[in-house]
Amino acid sequence: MLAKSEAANRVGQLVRDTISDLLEEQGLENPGVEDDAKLVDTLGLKSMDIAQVVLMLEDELDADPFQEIPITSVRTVGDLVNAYQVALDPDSASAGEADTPSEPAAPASVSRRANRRR
Amino acid sequence: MTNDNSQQQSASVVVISGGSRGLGLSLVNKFLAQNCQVATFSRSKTPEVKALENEHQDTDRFLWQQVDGASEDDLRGAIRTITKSWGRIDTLINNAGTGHDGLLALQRMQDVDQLLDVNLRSAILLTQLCSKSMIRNKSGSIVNISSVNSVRGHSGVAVYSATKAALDGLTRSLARELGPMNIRVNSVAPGYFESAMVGELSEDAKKRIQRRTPLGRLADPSEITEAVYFLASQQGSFITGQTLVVDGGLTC
Repeated sequence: MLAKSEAANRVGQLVRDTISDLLEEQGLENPGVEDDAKLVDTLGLKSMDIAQVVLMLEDELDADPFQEIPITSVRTVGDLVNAYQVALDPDSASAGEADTPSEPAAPASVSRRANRRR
Repeated sequence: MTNDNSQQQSASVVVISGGSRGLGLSLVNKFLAQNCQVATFSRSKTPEVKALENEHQDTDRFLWQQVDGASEDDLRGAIRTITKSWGRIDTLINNAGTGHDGLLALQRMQDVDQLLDVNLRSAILLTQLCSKSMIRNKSGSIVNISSVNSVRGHSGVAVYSATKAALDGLTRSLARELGPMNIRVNSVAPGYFESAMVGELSEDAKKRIQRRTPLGRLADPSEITEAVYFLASQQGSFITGQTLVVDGGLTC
């Protein structure tokens, strides 16, 4: 059980580190990559930035959860972490959360417009 | 095919679907001649592919795989093998295609499905798989082989035309989507050239096409190949989202 929890923590840390690396690479301010941080609205990521994060995580974890669940169900860092935890351990306690976005999904274009970078 | 000097170009990895004969084979030979690493796949191995395998057995520059173009598992496996072997994909040419002529009203749905699978679904899947590598490298070029049937209506090829017009739509939207990652996407719409598909036309039909073509002849596959190479290479470095019609003026 402890080993499972450690593995889940490692996945979580890897997701947060990957996002932080991308923010730095893009020259974006890092307001804190916390679980409740919204990828678009809080962190300022665009859809292609999120795709890059997913590809980097696919390299690291050899997993692509988004062949099974829609990427549009992911709104927050926590959603993303959970998607990988479920993909890597389907018995994960929080399984299914990735299918339940942290808030009702808005069309991507609306989110982009609301968060256009200055 | 996105780099400047020949030393870098020699490392370019080019994926060409349906490269065992016709235009695909011509493209394979062109990119090999430019020192690229070329991967291709098709349903069956032709004598030309065997000859290329023999010629390049020590160069690690040519890879052929047996693939059913309508099989998602086959296509995923083929791209996995290429990226494992060569580590990256720089250029994708979506060339594989098939055609079933006939009035839509009389066409079997299984033939319609096969056209959609091979000409469109497989191209979309290959583009998705290869673009992942290109996004990682922030560089790449994709050329979709379309057709004059995508820009002009012709009786008897409605579904074929629909798949090719869909490829052009894919080209334009992906050019916008992938442009910020330095990935270019273009289409080449060939007119009639000497190929297996044209070989099925009657002599009368071929003569009619030649009469309607301002240049008065069918194309040689090499003339289509050069246009594809132009768009895929650094020569076309500021061109994206375009459909280049190469038809001897047939549609002008």
